[in-house]
Amino acid sequence: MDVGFYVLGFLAIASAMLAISLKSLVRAVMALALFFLSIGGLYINMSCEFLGFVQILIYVGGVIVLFLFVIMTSGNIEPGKSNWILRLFGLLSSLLLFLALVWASKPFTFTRLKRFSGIKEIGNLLMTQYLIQFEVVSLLLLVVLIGSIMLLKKE
Amino acid sequence: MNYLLLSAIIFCIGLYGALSRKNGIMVLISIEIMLNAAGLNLAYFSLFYNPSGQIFALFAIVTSAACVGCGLAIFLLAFREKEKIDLDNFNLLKG
Repeated sequence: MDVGFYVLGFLAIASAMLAISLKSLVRAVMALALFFLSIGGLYINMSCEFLGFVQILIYVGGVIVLFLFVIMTSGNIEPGKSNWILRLFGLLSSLLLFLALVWASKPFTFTRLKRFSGIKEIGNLLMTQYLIQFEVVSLLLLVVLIGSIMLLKKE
Repeated sequence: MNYLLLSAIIFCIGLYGALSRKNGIMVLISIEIMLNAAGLNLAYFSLFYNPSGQIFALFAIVTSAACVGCGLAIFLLAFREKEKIDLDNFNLLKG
C-alpha cells in the first residue's frame, strides 16, 4: 500500500480534470500548476528524484509563468464555446483509447530492478551515449528562442 | 502497474480536453497534460530496464517547453490579428 502514490495520483487526476474543464483561463493555468506539482511528486515517489526536480523547476517555474504572461498581457481572451458534438466525440475517443490501452497492456508482467538509478548514472548517460541528442535539443531551444522573437517582432 | 493505469487515465483526460475545447490556449494546456502522462510512462518503464527512459522523459520535458514557447507566440500573433483565439477562426487555408 503506497499512500503517497494514491494521494498524488488522486491529486493529479482531479487537477487535470479541473484544468481542462474550468471556464476561466487563469484558473485553468493554476490547476495546471497543481497538476505539474503532483506529477513531480509522483516522479520523486517512484525514485526518479532528478526528473521530479527538473519537472518542478521547468514546468512550475517556466511554463506556468509563460502561460500567465501571455494570458495577462493579451487582455481578456474569450474562453471559447464548445458544442455537444465535440464533447461527445472527445468522450467517445478518449474512452476507446483508454479501453484499448488497458486491453493492450493486459498480457504483460514486469519485474522491478533491484538497483535504483541515481543522478550520477543519468549524467553519465547524457554525456556519453546521448551526447548528440543532448546537443540537438539545445539547438532546438535556440531555434525556438529566435523563432518566437521573430514571430512577435513588430515591423 | 498502478502507474501505467494512472498515466493512461491522465492521457485520456488530456485527449478529451484537446478534442472538446475551442480555445487555443486550452488545447495547449491539454497537450501539456498528455505529454506529462507520456513522460510518467517513460519514467516508470525506466525502473524495469535501464535509466534511458528517464533521459527520454527529460527530452520530452525540454521539447514540450519548446512547444509551449512557440505555440504561445503563434497564439499571441493570432490574437493581435483577430482579437480572439478561437480555433474555428483559423480556417484561412481551407479556401
